[in-house]
Amino acid sequence: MVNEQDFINNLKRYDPRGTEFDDLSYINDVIKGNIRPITKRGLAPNEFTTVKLAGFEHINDDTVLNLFDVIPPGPKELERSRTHLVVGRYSQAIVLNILLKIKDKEYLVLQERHPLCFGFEKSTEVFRDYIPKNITINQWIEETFEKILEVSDNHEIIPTGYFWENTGVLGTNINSATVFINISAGKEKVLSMLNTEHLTNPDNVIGKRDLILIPLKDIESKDHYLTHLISIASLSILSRIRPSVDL
Amino acid sequence: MHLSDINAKLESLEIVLGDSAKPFVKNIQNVSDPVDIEGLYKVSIVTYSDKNNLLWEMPLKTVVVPIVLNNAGINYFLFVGQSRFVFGGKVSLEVNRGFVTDNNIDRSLYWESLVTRKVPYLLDYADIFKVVDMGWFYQHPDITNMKIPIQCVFAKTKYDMDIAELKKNLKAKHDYLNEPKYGPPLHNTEPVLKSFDEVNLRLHEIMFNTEKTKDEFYLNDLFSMTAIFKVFEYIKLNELPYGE
Repeated sequence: MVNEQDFINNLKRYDPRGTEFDDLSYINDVIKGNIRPITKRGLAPNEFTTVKLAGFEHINDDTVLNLFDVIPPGPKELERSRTHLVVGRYSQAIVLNILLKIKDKEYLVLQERHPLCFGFEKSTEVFRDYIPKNITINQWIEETFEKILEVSDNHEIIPTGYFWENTGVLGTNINSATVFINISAGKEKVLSMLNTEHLTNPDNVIGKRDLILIPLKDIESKDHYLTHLISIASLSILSRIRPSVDL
Repeated sequence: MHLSDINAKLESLEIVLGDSAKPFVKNIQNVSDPVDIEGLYKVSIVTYSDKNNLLWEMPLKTVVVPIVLNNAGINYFLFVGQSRFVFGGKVSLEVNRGFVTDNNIDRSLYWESLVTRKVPYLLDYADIFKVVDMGWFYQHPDITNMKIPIQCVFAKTKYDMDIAELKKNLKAKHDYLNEPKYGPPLHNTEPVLKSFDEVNLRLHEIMFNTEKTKDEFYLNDLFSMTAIFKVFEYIKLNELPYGE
């Protein structure tokens, strides 16, 4: 077994630039809560070797830009070291399929937004948000949709795990769940109950959104309409589950 | 900031905020100069309604390539095992995906650019029967507008092999010298073969047995799940292209 300090000393012997290594404990203190901790230096040939935290910047309350100098798998040579970008987030994301049965007709609740990176073009997406860390998914759903659940005939929440957002740049995960709601109110009333202020302006992460109802059978593909990874993955999950009882 | 200055700064990120009549545009207060990170990312910070937003773009195009490999009458997905820095260096099992080495390659051939680089021995041991364009998706609509195509490769081994032999044959013998002039170094990848039944079981596990899988990075990334779902959807509607 190679000793970490010997490994570092050996690498530095051939480095005219005099690269300094950061302690992993220092790195983990800085990045705490926004990405996973770096559990090992990575001394084996097929591992990434962490050299240092080359940059750390809070973009906003939630998003962090972490830059690491790492030697990718292969020969352990400091000249192969590259800067690696890892975007971190403090909050927990959730994506939610909401399937409403209104008088025997099934609707999906989707959100319309104007994301900055689409040049403010309208994007139609599966409902997603961020949840506080000290609350369960079920509690959060019950509280967030309290109004509509109160008047529903019955409902069922099915948590469907989570997925990794992007294994290359983001190490964060997105919780996933589906809510089936059976409600006998009219479509317009349901829509107005959904478009309450706390849902349309949830926080400054998601930004303003409008909730819409689309008949399940009318889901179609067009530009910026359910075409992003999170929505597609979420709806694919929906296609594999049904409520346990007939709602 | 004037809109033309904003758009000039965001041009290299392929983001255009359009005309100044849009109600949102007037809320943009500042756009930082895009920063290039190793030729792989361009990052800019846009201050909008008093809040900083991170925008990034990858200058090299990327593609997701699910590979369905028929061997001895059984259909497998050919996945890849590779260590991921963001997972603390742990191995992640995923659908093959990555950068193409040259943005001038015809889009319909992105799959080839990836396969010849990441699974270089596939064509020695299998014939490709069909490549299906399964559309594209946006990676993450909040921080990038990258459009990523999914191109599924259907292949069949040239002769029946046992799985150990097939994996051994497909394993890339990396010398780490075949890095593109710019672009990411190749990971030390390991071919992973999973039958359709195994993949379906895994999807069920991801969705309903979450505690068990909490620290296993096995097909539970957004790219892999989306690609697998698309392939299964395709197979429901189309016959597999291997003939008799």
